[in-house]
Amino acid sequence: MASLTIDPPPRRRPVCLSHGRWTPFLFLAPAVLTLFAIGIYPTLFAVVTSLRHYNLTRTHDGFPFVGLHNYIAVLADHTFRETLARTALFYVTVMPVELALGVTIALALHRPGWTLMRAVVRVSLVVPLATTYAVVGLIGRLIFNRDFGVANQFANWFGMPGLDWLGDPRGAFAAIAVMDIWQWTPFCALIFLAGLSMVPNEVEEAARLETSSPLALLRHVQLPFLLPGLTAVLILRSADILKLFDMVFTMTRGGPGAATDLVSIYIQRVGFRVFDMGTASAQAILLLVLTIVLSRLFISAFYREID
Amino acid sequence: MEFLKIDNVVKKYGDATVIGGVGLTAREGEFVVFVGPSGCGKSTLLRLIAGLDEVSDGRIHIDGIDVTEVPPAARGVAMVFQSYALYPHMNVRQNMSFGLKMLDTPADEIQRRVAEAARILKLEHLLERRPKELSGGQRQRVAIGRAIVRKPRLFLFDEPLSNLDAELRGEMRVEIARLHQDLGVTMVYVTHDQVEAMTLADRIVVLRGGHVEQIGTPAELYDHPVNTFVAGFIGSPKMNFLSVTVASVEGTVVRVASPSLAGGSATLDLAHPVVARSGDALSLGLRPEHLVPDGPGAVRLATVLDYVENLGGQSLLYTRAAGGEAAICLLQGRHQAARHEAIALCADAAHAYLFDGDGHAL
Amino acid sequence: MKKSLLGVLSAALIATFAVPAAPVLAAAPWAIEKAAAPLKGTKIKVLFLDRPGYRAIIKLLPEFEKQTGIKVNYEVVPYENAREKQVLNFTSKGDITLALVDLVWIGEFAENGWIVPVDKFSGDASITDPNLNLPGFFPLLLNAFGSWDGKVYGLPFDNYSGLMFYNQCMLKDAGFDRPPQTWDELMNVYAPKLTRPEKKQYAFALQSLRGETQSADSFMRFLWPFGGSLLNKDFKSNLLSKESQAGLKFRQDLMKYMPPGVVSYDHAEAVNALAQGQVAMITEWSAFYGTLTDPKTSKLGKCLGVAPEPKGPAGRLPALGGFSLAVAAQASPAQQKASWIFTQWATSEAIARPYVEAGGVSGRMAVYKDPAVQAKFKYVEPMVASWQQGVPEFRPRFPAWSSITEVVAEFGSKMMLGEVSIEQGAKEIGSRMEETLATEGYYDGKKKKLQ
Repeated sequence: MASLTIDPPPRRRPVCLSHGRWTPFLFLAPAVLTLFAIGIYPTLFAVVTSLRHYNLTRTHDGFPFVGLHNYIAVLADHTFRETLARTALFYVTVMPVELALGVTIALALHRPGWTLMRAVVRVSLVVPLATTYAVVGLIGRLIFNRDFGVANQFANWFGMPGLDWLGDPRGAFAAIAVMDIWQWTPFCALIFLAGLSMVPNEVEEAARLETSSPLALLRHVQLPFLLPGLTAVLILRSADILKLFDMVFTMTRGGPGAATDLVSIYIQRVGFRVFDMGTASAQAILLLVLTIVLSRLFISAFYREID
Repeated sequence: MEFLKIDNVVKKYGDATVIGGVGLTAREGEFVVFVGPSGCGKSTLLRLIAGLDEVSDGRIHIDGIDVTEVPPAARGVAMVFQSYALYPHMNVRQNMSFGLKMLDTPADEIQRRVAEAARILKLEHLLERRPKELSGGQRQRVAIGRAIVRKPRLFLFDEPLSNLDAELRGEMRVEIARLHQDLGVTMVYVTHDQVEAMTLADRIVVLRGGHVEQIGTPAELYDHPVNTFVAGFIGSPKMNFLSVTVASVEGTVVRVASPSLAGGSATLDLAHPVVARSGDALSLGLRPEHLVPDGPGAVRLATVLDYVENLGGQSLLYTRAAGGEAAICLLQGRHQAARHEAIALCADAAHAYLFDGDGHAL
Repeated sequence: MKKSLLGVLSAALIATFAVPAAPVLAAAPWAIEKAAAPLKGTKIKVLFLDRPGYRAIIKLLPEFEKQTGIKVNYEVVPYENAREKQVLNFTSKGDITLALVDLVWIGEFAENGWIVPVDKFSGDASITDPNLNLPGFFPLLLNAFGSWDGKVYGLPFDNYSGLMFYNQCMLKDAGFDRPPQTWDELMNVYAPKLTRPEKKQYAFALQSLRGETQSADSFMRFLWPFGGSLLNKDFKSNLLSKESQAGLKFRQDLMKYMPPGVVSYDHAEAVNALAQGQVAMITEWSAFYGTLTDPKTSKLGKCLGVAPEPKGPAGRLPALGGFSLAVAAQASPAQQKASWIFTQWATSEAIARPYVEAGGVSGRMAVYKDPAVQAKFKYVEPMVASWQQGVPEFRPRFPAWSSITEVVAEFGSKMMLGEVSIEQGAKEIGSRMEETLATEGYYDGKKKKLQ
């Protein structure tokens, strides 16, 4: 019965449908094209380059395809492995500190009261984030200057002898770690603050009725809400530290010796000093793979949906 | 024995006073209901008892101990929230055992208590589910279960039923009442719903604007409201109020006059000396359920019928008195009457309330 | 020869009597206005650094643009980025028409065909100044900065020599009325008396920050004067030779008279240490003379002394560095001609005097013979002395240097930190360097052994 009465509309429907079928594509096209232009195309280009002998300063050699030769060379390159290991050490040095400080600051800001103070602090947290990496490096050079740097002045106040930060391998590593922590702790704090504000008030209060320990509250009630943010921070930072260049370069150029020679500094050297684009692309692709693997690991280890 | 004692408690947020010096006590095992319109401070008062907010002034005692400075978890209270406030990342069992774990209760004891609570609340088959997989009523039962397992000395309920639909609300109300009987624990219950207040409470505390209006048993509040606010708040439908003037006072007997009254006046015996003089403007309060069309009562209202609502076994008559005031009558059975028909609504003088110009009961 | 002598004379005349000589210039067969007339409105592009020599030429530029109608677009970049920018520009056929060539880039730029040999233009009288006079440049400079495989590509423009800057007052207080003549004297006679760690005073500072600073300013500086070198004539590592090892060991020993942390010193820190009176002597590029004489950046005042770098057992072979200007192959013919005219002008004997007055360091010999210039600029005498002899391949100028310098920088600073021994470090640099040179094709006869 009903189908009989709506007989005419189905004849018009193909017109509507053809319009409707393409509409979503049209809406998506700009985003997809942009993504292709700024993300996929360069990546594909890097993949292709990584399969070639591609040195910009040896144009007369041409750019022949060499298969996986670049990858094999990179994997066999002990400098690459060393710098990667150093980068990993850097990651495990700065991340726990940034996370711990970030959570502490976030908890302090999450407490009720001090409305004006909190607003001021929240804004000032953005300052390190908004500072260019290279400028952070320059600031670092000043802070850790042996003779007139702030770091040694602090040390002197506490009765410790000044340290030759940038001239000492461990000191230099510590110095770049400190600057990284300075720059990124606020980011962690803001992410965690957002996570804390996701905890429904009454859930937090219910927990406060069951335990007096802020630590237990953090561990059992707030932490689950922090995990998505934590995952994001870990992923972002693993990608970011793998390409951390400007700050370290302006501060130490990877020295003294190889103390702060992170993998990004090495890749930059291969790519833009030696101009061996093939090898540099292979290194970059390997790091991309590493980033993806790490991201999957972080997601499966930490990411839990809460609703 | 005063189990809960609230002593002149004040709560201010900045310049705004939310609770302005409230004092009350509750016996052990008593079911106390805070009731009042929204913004009256009833929830704040509950949070002060729980310790979730700090008092600005005054003291709170539980079981003879001053807990004013004691952190919430150490007060031995359990609270059920309007939004249930279950831990979203824990299943039902974990939700109920969290508090006990925090108290380092042995595992088998936790197991036993959770099982017991689950049995009482019929949650046995839901123990492994997450809150998001439960219905509203089930969530509320889990919230109650979480409170029960800790065996608190004081239960606090913050509008626990207002997120439920009417039918479920009725069921849960009965469950809570039964729970109170079974456990015999002191409970403080916040609601804006006077039906919940009347049915559950041993004693009701009526709050308005951060002050106590009246404390008493449901019957006391119903029979002897101290002012028009309480009189209007307790009872459903709301009490009818008519403006009257005092015609004469003789001892305990007062004659009031109003154009709405059939014959222009009515005589009431208040059974206590009347502090009013001729010519005073008063309010005459009559509950809808006490009005009977063409009944025998001494107070007779001359009204015209506006509209009838048929509730099945009962009917609600919306009328307009001769003086212009609206008056509602609740009567058993059905009423066959046409619109604009004149009706005399009669009430027994014993069921008439008089309030002075400030709203205080005479 | 006669012709060039004439050129020198006329240039000197022009420089001395710039204004009255103008009509003479116009009457001469060569006039820059005439040569440039067909190129009026041509735009040329070059990278400049933020250094005195470039500031000097920028000051003089309006005159050139007015005379020729050629528009010179320059972009000031940090040294660290200059090579990267140019390589990317050349490989992507960009807009640079005139290359700024550091001495160590000449092999790379020439071998890739990015720059054009001078003889392509110098034969064309319509665009070539008869006073071009290539022999008027210090031969060492023209050879080192501008030439590759026997061909001249660029003309020396921004020229440096390593010099010893010292604090005369500190030396005098320690009982010395002249600077040390040899490295040996510096370390064994001067350094002990000038080092007082408790007062944070040190005899010497050697800029050794990882990077080109470590490899060029620190590492190589101690090879040549001691008879060592990076490569032997077979292009194998010469770092394990007795002489190279002696030089590197000398550097290591000298560190006890340097402030702690020189491994993190770049030029700025070393110059500042001298300027603030923390160290008595540094060996730095001549270009820092301005910084050290400027009261805003230096406390030295009259205490500043300038001398050639000390001699080693193999003689005085100071650090050599500088930039030449070379016409880029990617430019259009008109731009190439315009760029060539600009290059001749900027490096001409005629402009040498104003260039030096404005803070530049000319590569022309004639200008420094002027007693007035010698008197005014203390650095002239030692610098001219330094340029009398030297090794163009102080740092090898072949394309592989860009990889080798990184290896030298890494292990050179590790040596200084004591993370590797001198011998180990030398071995490590040697084997990695030979690996690179092998892939470049130097060992299988594919490539001429040029450095």
